[in-house]
Amino acid sequence: MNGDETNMNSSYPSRRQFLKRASVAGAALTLPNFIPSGLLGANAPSQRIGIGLIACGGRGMYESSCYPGSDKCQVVAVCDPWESKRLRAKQVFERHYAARRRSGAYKGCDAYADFRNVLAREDVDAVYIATPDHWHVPITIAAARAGKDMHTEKPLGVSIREDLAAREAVRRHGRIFQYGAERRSTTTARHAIELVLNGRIGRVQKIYVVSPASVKGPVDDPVLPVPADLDYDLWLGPAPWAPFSAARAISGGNGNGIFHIYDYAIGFIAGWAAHPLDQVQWWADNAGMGVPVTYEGTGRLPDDGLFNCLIQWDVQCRYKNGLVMRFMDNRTAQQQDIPGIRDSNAATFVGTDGWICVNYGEVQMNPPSLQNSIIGPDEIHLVRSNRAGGEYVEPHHMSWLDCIRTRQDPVGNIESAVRSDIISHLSDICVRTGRKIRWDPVKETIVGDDTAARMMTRARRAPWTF
Amino acid sequence: MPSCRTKFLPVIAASFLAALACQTGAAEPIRVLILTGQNNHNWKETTPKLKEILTASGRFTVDVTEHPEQCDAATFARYDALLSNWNSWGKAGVTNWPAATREAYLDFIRGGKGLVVIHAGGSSFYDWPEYQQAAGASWNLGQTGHGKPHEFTVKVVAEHPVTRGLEPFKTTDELWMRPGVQPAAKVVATGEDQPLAMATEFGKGRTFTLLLGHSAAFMATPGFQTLLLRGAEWAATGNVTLSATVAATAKLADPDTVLKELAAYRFGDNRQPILNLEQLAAAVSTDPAAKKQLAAKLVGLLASGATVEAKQTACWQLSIVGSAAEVPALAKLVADKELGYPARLVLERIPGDESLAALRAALATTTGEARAGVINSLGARRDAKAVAEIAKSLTDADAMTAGAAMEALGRIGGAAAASALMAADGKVPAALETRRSVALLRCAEGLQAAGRAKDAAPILEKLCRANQPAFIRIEAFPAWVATLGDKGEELVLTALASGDRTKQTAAIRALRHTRSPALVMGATERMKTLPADLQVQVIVLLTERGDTAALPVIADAVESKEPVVREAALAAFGVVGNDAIVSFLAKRAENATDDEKKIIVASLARLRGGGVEAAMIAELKQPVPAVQQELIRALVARNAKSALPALVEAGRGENAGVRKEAIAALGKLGDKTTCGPLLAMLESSPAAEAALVAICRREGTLEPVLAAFEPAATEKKVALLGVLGGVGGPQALETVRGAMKSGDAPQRLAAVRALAEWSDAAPLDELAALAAATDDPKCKAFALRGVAKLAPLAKDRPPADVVALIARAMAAGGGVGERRALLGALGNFHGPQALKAAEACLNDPELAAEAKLAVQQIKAGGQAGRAHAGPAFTDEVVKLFDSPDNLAHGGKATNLDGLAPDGQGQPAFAAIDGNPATYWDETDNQGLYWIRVQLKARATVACIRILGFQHHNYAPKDFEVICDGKVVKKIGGAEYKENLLTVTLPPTECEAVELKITGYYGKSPAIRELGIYGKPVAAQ
Repeated sequence: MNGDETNMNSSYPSRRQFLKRASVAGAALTLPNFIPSGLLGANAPSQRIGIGLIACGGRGMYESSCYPGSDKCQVVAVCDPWESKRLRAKQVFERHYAARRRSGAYKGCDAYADFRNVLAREDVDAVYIATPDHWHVPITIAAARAGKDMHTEKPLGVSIREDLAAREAVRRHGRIFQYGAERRSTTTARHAIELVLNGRIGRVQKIYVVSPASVKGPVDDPVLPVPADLDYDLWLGPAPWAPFSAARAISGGNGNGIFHIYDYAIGFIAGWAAHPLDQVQWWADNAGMGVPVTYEGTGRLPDDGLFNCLIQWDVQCRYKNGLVMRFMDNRTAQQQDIPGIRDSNAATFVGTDGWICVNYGEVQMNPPSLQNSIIGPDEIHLVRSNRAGGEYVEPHHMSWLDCIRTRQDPVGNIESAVRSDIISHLSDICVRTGRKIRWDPVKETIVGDDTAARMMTRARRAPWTF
Repeated sequence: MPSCRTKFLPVIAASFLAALACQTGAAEPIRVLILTGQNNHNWKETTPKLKEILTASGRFTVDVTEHPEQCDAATFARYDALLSNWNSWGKAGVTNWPAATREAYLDFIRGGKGLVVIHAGGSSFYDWPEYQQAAGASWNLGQTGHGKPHEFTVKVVAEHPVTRGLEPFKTTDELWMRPGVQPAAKVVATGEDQPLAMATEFGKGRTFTLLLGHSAAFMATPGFQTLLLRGAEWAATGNVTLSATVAATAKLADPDTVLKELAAYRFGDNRQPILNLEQLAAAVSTDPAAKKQLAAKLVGLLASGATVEAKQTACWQLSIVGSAAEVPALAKLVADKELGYPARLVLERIPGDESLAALRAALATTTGEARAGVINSLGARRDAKAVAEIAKSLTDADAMTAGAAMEALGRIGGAAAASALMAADGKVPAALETRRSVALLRCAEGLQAAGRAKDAAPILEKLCRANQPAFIRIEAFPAWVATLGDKGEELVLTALASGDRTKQTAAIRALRHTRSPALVMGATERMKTLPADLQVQVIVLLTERGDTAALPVIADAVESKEPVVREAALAAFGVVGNDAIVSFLAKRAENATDDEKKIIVASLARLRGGGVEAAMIAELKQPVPAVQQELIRALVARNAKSALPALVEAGRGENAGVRKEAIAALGKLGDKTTCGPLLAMLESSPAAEAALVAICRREGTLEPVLAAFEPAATEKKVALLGVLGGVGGPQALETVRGAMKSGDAPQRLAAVRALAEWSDAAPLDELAALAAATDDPKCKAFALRGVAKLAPLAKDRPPADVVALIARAMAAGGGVGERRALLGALGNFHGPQALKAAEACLNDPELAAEAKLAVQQIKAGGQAGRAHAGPAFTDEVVKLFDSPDNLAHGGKATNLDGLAPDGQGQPAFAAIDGNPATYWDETDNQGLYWIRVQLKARATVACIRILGFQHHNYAPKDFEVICDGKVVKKIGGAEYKENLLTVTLPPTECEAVELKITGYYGKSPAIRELGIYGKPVAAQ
């Protein structure tokens, strides 16, 4: 099915190879996520999955708020280099758990600055990693090597080699990895991709992927003393040292430097684009398409200011069979006439018989009657990760917990995460070098361009490595 | 280094053109003829450049003539567009064209084809008016002038296909002042307010005039090329498909200048020197000579007195352009505290043995963090030659170094690395043992993959021992088992039966990887001895294998005492089962728990194979309601249309639950033919109404329902009216209106009820009228509730009218429930009338709660405002803008800064629309924001008020207030009070007020409301 599964170097057959054989034998093409609903019900505290929350910022606290209501798990440790953030998180979880006890008191969630202390705990079975991007892969790999399962926020890594290393670690250690692209845990998006896979819009002729771009940073960014509250060196971690400043390290929503400074991220070309790219990859993985092999296009970096990630791009990504995926920022997209693209963050599949546009929380399609089209039992079905109800974040985390118990691959598996993130990286490299980039999906490397190939890696500040 | 400069430009241009080209698709190429051969500019250079630009885009094919005077209609007929790079200025050889050429030239354009005029290409034949008209613009002697070529910003000034989507861009060229623009020409772009691009319709044809392009060098700029290509495409075809993206103009200064500027860079300074270097490095990377030169200069900077930041920046770029030649210089820096890391980055990225040798040598000269970093880099490069040296660090007293050595050896792998790691037994502190195990595991698996299972086996055996962490044992066990052949199978079975959870988990992991069916069968026989959750894991993996041999084991597991095992088994059937399992699964539903029922339905829905649905339909005949209901749900999930007859039958059955389920299913699966039976069930089963509505909506037809309506008796008509109300649409409306006039009271009431439930606002007025007119309390109640439901749906009507309609309905004398519903509807609107109507109910004890909520909602700005309610603006402040004194009302707001709305922000009109929930906001971080309000009539202005986005967050801070072009007030560091700023102005009579904003809180100055007043008003 897929052409790029060569990275498993074990002598025994991998799980994926199994799947391949199984499908050849005519059995299940795609596996259902058949978690018994009661499997994890009424668990004694000792049976619960011990969770460590790594990074207690906005995203971390938002998504982890689904844990206390579940008896599948127990948050036993939180971690953040900001003392105030970790103490607040500890308080939040302890209050939640205290409220459910007869005594009304609970002390059992420990707070750490350093994630390594969380990974060292035996009662932590799994971690939710919601750090800035440059920490996603280092902690994912460290968690894999410590025998923990992980739910890692998107985008994946800050270089292609990081992505590949994360996959190697997750597979080598047999960990259950869930990618934080929660649109896969929605009924509408799943149905939309199933419609495309089952030929409801005919043959796919073109794909459009649109996302917000990074922004310009402040030109004037005074260096500030590091707050006593923060272990700044740990915050920087593998990234190059740079002086503390507000725009660099203090959260301010989507304008925060952690999203737009190349030392910590490659920008919204990965950070936001991860969502629609992930939807396309869901299709591509099941349609045997792999990732595009050539990338051509233009774009812009800010011409001043602290931030240095793409503020505009328009890249033609071509799959091996010639199919073109046009990947661009939403400003560029607004000048085009793309079916279904009204705003920012969507993927549109244009087929011979119609089109489908998958956005966050809504799907548009033509003909509109496709909405009522039921996918029959003999057609391709995608993993259904929100069987227990709900949409987005909560079922995404809950199905991950279920998979931890059954040792199944979650809906956002590592292979798919790596592939979709690679599209962001190759497009970024294409614009930064101003050249056509060729990707060898078997060797998983850029070919024919030494400079571009070097941009697949970046050394990490010691002692951090992968 | 001027030689470099000329080299860089083509690199940028070529890639830019390639990018444009790839967007053109398979459209027919446009045929262009360039007219040239004389011109008071260097046509010998510019003509080939124009040809190159057009050709490289892939959209055009180009011919050139140096003698336009020799062309005639036959020559021109072969082309879609002419491009004039020709003029008769100065001492021109040709000063006139023969009549045939003149006629053919004009006919060509008039007949529907295109002309493109570049720079002075139209500056000929001043006594030939049609030529001038066709040219769009030309040099007008005595009027037109120009300064020296310089950089300026090109802005789009008119909506036109050529400029659609074009962002303002900077370019360098000779800029004409006051060109002679023809009256029919539409100026589409300007630079420094001077027209520089025009579009002209001439007969059926089109001219695009571009006054840029003084020389070939200026034609190399991306902006010129974008305008040329899009303009030429439009002139030839009337359409534009080429991209409007202008590649950033690389400021490719000379490397020495760039590096000189960089040398003094410190954190916090303007980053321009870094950007310049990044652009330079990207541009030279395809030019070996220039790349080498730049690398050498960067190494020079490393040895100079430049700042540390400058040197770090130089290293980042060296990691891209550097080669073996720069290795020695970088090797010296690896131990440096500040430059060690960037130097290592370069060495890690430069391919080849030299960089590896330098890193290995650095092992001897570095300590602590620097040494750990070097070890990491050698690990990342997987340098087998470094194994012996790195191995010495395994027992380093410094845990960081020792740990790095372990990870690097694990990464490099191979027998030597493995032996070194094994040999460290007993010499490693306990805290590092797990890291050593992980590294060993990596080595062992690498060896195994390389076919050296024998070398791997002892390592893996060690990692499976009880003194290892559980997760290492679990991970190592499958690999170890795989090295042992048949003996390994024994080991797995023993582990399964061991009662040790770690061993059992490891054994199941091994099962996932095994190729041996016998082992799997052996394991499943022992399944019952496992803890329940591990049994589930075994069932899951059996299912993944898709082996039908697993069926008996799964069937057995369905009988387990453990609910989780039973559920897993029931779910597994959905994947490995077939039609033979249908009966078994269905029967299980009879005594199943609710959770199990859900799983059974899901499994029945998933079963593959031709006979499955037939088996389910057959099973449906068994009169066991609990089973029938689940079967029906599964048939719906399968979209099993073949089950329709069976479902009709079930819909007539005896059990009410089954009937309801079956009728609901008919609604989901049925088509036009299903309507008949459903219509027959309408009186006996309320579910049939919903089912009919669903079918009619899906199929887009009302025909069966309408056909049944006329002949039906009253009772049935009442039910049919319910269906019509649910389906909606003009056809249904007509019938329902007919029923309103019926002499039959129940029918009339049903009709009102249907209208009250309508899916759009079409019957709003008649419901309102009915509510006022009727004396029948039931009828009134329905009508009023209908008004409450439909009023918020009337999006296409002026909100004030709808509010008035609601207010009238509230006075129509309905009950408390109806008035409460109407208050709820009011909350969807905003403005004083809505507020007044809601506030009137605040003192009514029965309505106070709803009225209070409605008042809150109205103040928050209706529905749109709810998302923004909160500290952003207060109720009292909002009222200030709703005052009749506000001169901005009825005015026209525009922006003069050329910026686009940003995020949730809207264009300038949102600043004076009276709705504080909406706001004007544009692209972040710009230097100038400029909004203009044209007043409805000339007036004296003495005060303005600004309601910003959110107090000192996204609000204007430093700005000028301009009345009819005159600055009347300058504000610096504006201080808002609860999000409101009041500025008193010297009273000035004017027609327009502008704010020129140069400073702001947040990232841009968003304005919710801008109020303009004739008298000073007290600051709040």
